[in-house]
Order: sequence, then structure tokens, then C-alpha cells
Amino acid sequence: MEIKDITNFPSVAGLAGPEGPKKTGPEKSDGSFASVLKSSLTEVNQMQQKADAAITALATGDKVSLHDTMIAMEQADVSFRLMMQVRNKIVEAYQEILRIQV
Amino acid sequence: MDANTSLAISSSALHVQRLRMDVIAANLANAQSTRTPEGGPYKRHDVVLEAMPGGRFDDILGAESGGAVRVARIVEDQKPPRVVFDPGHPDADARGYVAYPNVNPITEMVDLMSATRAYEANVAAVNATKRILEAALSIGRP
Amino acid sequence: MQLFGTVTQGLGAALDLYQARHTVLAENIANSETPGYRARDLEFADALGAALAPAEPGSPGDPASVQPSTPYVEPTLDRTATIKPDGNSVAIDVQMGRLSENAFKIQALTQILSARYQGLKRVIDGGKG
Repeated sequence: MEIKDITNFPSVAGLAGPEGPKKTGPEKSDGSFASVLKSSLTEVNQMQQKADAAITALATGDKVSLHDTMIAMEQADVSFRLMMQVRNKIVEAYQEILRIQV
Repeated sequence: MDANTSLAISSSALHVQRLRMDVIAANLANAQSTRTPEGGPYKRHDVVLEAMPGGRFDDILGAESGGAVRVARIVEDQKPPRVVFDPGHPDADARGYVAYPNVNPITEMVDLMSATRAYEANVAAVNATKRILEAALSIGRP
Repeated sequence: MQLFGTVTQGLGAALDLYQARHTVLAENIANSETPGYRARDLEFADALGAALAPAEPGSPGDPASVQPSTPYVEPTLDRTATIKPDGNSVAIDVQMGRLSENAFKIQALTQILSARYQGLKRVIDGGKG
């Protein structure tokens, strides 16, 4: 029995789709997810250092306003939580891809 | 300028108004004192207030220990004493006149009311500052 | 492993000093009518700044075990206070103002320290919940 190429049938020709899986995936190091995480980490570190400096200035009585210190702390907290969520989503996406049945 | 300096500014004002009230109370208490250790009747005292440190707002903004006002000095009012004819008074002079202090109780009471109002206004300023600080502390609190 | 940064540990030392200043100011207020009593204050900005400064890289000692200890600061005479005729130099309004400001600092620093520990717990819990 001769097996014909299924894509030659007109009704299923449109389902051929692009060749192969996408070349870039989240586990590749030059992917967009990794660069987002990296820039997130840098920003989080900067925010933490600014918050540290503001707290030290407040404790030693330098001329820093109380609200400036609270705002610096909140910015550090928010950017940190964002980074954590980005990380969690990346890990979830990775695990989901691992679960794909080949 | 942080809110902590404005607490010090208001405190200095409260202190000054309290001193002013003390001086007014002394004037009222001595309104009838015809003799003093220095001789002559009691002379009405007044306070001269001074903005500090140099009076320029920039200096106050940068001042370390805060404070915006202080009593420069307490001066004696040089207006002539009130003279009353009373030959029987122990302090009457040769012509029978007694020199009473140049204290007008009405004026002193008006000054006292003004000092009280100023004190209350500064207390309101202190309370407003405290509310501002509490609001700043609640940033980020859910 | 160094779990707590210099600032988090230094906040404990800072709170100690602010608490000590509270005691000095409360003592001033208690003695507001005592003849001959001179008002005092606690100046610790420089000592605290030194304690909170980040350690120099390459400095001796195990960084994981160095905790900023509270520097001892002696109360100093308040030279800006005018001395009344009976020798007392306490202006009660000024002292109350300082006490208020100091109390707010303690409240703020306590809240900041608490937020730091919450943040650390969140990191350890992995950002979930």
C-alpha cells in the first residue's frame, strides 16, 4: 500500500504551518525573557541601595525627609516583587515546555 | 526642609510666647508697686522678639538645631510713670504726688490675649506637623 | 552566610541611641523646675554614621560575624539653652518638641526594621503568597 504525503491533499495543505519549532525558546540565553530578568535584577539592586542610603541618612539625622525614605523603600519593594513575579513566570513557562509530550 | 525642623521652629515660638506671658503676668502683678530695689516705681517690661539665626529664610532652612524666633532682650518701658496726688502715701514726694507704674492693665490684657492666641496657633502648627509625619509613615502600609 | 546587611543590623544600634536620647530628654522635662539643673542632650549623629557605614572591602575580620555594636555616647550639656535666674536651663516647650521629634524617629525606624524583616521572609518564601 502506498502512503501518500498527507500535505498534498488540498484540505489539509493549509495546516502545514511554519517549518519546525520556533528557533528561540525561553531556555536559550539570548532570549528576551533572560534579558528582561537581568535588567530587572539590576534595577532591583539599584533600588535596594538607594533605599539603604535613605534609611542610613534618616537614622543619622541627615536632612532627608521622612516621606523620601518611605518612598525609596516602597520603590525597592515594588521593583523586587515585580522581579520575583517575572522569575516565577519564567520558571512556570519553562516547566510547561518541559511537560510538552514529544 | 524636613518636618523635624518645623517641630523645632514651632517649639521655639511656643517658648517665646510663654516667656511673653510671664512678662505680662509680672507687669500685671506689679501694677501698683510704687517702690523697687532700684528706686522709683516699677517700670513696665516688654519683650523684643528676634528672628534667628540671621533672619534670612535660607539660614533657617539650613539651621542645625532649628528654632526660628527668640527673645532678643527684655526692655523696660521708658514712658513716664503715672502720677497721682496722694500726700498721705508713704512714697509721696515733696509735693504730695505718688508715682505709680506706667502699667495699663487693659493694654496688658490685650497683650496677654494676643500671646495666648499666638501660643494656640503654634500648638496647631505642631499638631499639623505631627499629622504630616504620621501620614509619611503610612506610605506603603496596606 | 551573611543574612542581614549592615543597614538592617545598624538599625538596632540606631534604635538603642534614639531610646537613650528619649531618656535624657524625659529627664530634662522631669527637672523643668529644678533650680540649678542644666538641660542636656545626646548627640550621636557622627557615632551612628560611623557604625552604619558599609565595611571597607578587604577589611579584616569575618564579615558574617561583624554586627555593628551600639557606640557609647555620653550626654552633653545643651549650650543653646538660656539659663534662668535660678540656674535651671530647661525650656519645656523646646524639650517637648525634641521629645516629639525623637519619638517619631523611633516609630519610623521601628517600622522600617519591621519592613526589612518582612522583605527577607518574602524572599525566603520564594515570592509566593
